[in-house]
Amino acid sequence: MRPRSLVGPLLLIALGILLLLQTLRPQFPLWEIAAQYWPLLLIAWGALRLLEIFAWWLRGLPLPASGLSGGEWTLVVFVCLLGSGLHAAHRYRPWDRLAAVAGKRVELFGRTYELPIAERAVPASRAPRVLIENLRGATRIKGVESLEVRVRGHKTVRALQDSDAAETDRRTPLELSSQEDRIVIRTNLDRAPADHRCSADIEVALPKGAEVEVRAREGDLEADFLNSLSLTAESGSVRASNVQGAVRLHLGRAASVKLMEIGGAAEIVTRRGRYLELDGIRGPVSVEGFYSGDLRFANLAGPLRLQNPQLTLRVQKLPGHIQMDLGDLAGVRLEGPVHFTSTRTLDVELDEFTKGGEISLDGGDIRLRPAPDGLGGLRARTRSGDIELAVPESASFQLRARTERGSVFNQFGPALREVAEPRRGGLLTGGAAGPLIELETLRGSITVRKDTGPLPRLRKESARETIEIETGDRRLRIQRH
Amino acid sequence: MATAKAALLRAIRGPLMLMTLGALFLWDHLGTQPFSRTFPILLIVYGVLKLLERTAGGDQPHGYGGQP
Repeated sequence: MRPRSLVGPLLLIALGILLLLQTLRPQFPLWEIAAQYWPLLLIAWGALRLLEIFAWWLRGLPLPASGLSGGEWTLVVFVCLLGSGLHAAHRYRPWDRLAAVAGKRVELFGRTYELPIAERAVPASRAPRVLIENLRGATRIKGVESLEVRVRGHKTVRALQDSDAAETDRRTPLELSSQEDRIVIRTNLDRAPADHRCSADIEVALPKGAEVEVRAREGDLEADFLNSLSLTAESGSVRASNVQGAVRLHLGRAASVKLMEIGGAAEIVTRRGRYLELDGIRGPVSVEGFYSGDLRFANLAGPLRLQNPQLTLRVQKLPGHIQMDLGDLAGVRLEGPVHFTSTRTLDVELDEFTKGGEISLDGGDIRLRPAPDGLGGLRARTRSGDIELAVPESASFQLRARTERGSVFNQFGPALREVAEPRRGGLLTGGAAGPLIELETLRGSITVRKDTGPLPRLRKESARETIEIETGDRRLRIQRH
Repeated sequence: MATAKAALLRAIRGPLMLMTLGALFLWDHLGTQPFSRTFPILLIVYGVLKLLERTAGGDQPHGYGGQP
């Protein structure tokens, strides 16, 4: 008589105990455990069967022809399918995707509801600290001569029907609270149902001495006449002007950033940006991040540092302006030493810059015209491209200009002399005293000529109208294009 | 003729395969190695067990090869 296996009943008992646990203690995460550890069932099944067979063998009982019958293997296949399905469901969470599809449905078939936000105000001191949390939407902040913080605006809700929109509106009340010197403004959009797209456009009027901190996920910020501004957001645009102190922006993606008339430091950190314009910054400027559009810097009283994995630019002061995009950098009236390195191919033109510096390009042309009264030690190097240098006739300097493959042109005069180079390169040296100017290109020509006026291709700075306003103990300058 | 040892090896083949399968799935779910990468182990285990069985004298071919 062949013995019958005990594994089936044992497994049934184990399954019963697990299900009982689930019914007695609903918080017992049976399905999570089952999704992750169902293969243990196969292992236990196999191990029990193995022990059984060894036991039969030791007792000299007849052994089955195969350890598992065809029917059992079929059951194994079903268990594997079920377990894998459970595991996949827990890992990829299809119910979340269904919710996302439901959100799309609202986007496609829903209506947009504009709901007003009732105007509210709280009293404030002359220099309150204000925190504004508006996850989505435009935020406008304006400093005014008053001793209160006043908020108004409207909400935009996308929903399928009126009652849904009203419910979303009810769940996201505007919060305006004041504790001593700290004022908090929250639009509470995070409380809206996940499938209702909700944004709030708010206008905040506050005392001019306010120190403002803004937290957002996406949206645009406009700020004028504040004491200081700090922003953290995932994406959006910023325009700020007439801030007496520092401005700090931490933006994931910046469509455009424009800062004008900032009394303190400006720190802008982005992952990716498009347009950047900084005009009239008194403190140090630090810009980190990659910009795909135009960058413009003008009237910087402190040092400028621009950095991303592809390039580094450092200037000590910028009375003039710098304009750059992906293919060009043009600067006028820079106080150096100017430091610029780029691993991207880029043409560089610097006009009227002082104290020399170092320019190193992976590719691209370099045109330089140092300021007549501010010649400094200068090194310019490009791997592939032409270099042109214009120096005042009266300047004293030492020159060493070398091309590996290309020609050197001396349009300066007899003070410089060409040295014949082996192969196809050229070397131009000259001068006896003064700062050393080194020019080097691996492939391209080098021209040194007399200074005959500004570089012709450079864009001229537009004439501006300047208005000065006294505000409190500070004087603000507004410029109009 | 299958020896007693060969019969044992044949009997434990199924349970051992099942345990290997369970271990590979568990390995997959714990995020160490995906099943799609480890499944050849099943073939190897099956091959090794079959080999042991044959060296023990079991699994004689029948129905063809001379003997009726």
